[in-house]
Amino acid sequence: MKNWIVAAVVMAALAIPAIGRAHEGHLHKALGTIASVQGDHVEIKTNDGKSITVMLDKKTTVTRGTEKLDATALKVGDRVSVEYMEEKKMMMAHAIKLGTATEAAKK
Amino acid sequence: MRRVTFILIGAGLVVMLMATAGLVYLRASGLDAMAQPGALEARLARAARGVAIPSAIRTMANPTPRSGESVADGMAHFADHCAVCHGNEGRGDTEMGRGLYPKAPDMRLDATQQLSDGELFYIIEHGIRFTGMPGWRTGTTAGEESSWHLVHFIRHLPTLTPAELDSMKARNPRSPEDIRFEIEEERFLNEGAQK
Repeated sequence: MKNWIVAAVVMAALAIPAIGRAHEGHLHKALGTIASVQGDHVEIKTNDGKSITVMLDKKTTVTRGTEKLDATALKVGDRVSVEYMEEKKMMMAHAIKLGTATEAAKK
Repeated sequence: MRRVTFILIGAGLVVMLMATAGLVYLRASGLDAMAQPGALEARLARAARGVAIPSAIRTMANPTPRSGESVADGMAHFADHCAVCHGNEGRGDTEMGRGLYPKAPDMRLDATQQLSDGELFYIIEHGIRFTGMPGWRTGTTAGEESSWHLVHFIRHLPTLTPAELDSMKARNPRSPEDIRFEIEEERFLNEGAQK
């Protein structure tokens, strides 16, 4: 009888999935030009005409070629390639690559 | 006769109890792969895996000498075959790794690093049933040697350098869509071409 109780408890424990589900979004990529930089978020006008706003955090990497930069390097008019993921209803930027050519420089 | 009846009733009750528990499991979990396994389930599964690995293999030391070459070989292999689920850093924080049940583990941590060389080798060669880990055994000496190189590389994961990560990225499998994006990205960022 005791063994049955143990077996039932084990099965019940297995049936209860852990609380907290790791349901992250998918990684997206976009090319575009920075339309605005405001604190911890950057608005990008993408090459296909859309506008996306991505959030920056301490994990966001900013690079130009092999050079690693910080978020202050992001300027309006910069051409960027951004990798971002929806996390907690926000688009979190994972990586932003800066181009050598900028809209600002062209003007 | 009475004893036989008692045993049959008992066995019937056990079967009913297990069937009920199974039904509860199916209904409660929905067989959802996005869930995290509970602590007890994880512990039982690890224990079962430990029992399943033959002791002769579990106690084997890596027969391939550790060298820069063997680690590099394992690294190249890992980037090409394993990183899609485990990630180049072995953190398991990939789209595939997060969607598996159980999740692809952070291989830099003790749960992986404290496995013996033989256990790691066995897992690479045979995979683990009821998880997303496939077996990679080819039955060839070259295949086994390759798995032992991977064991060296798994030991190296906690101390990967940024330069090594960059070299792995270049070896990660890419879809035609990824390749198209990279070409477009290169042109857009560095050649100043307007779309």
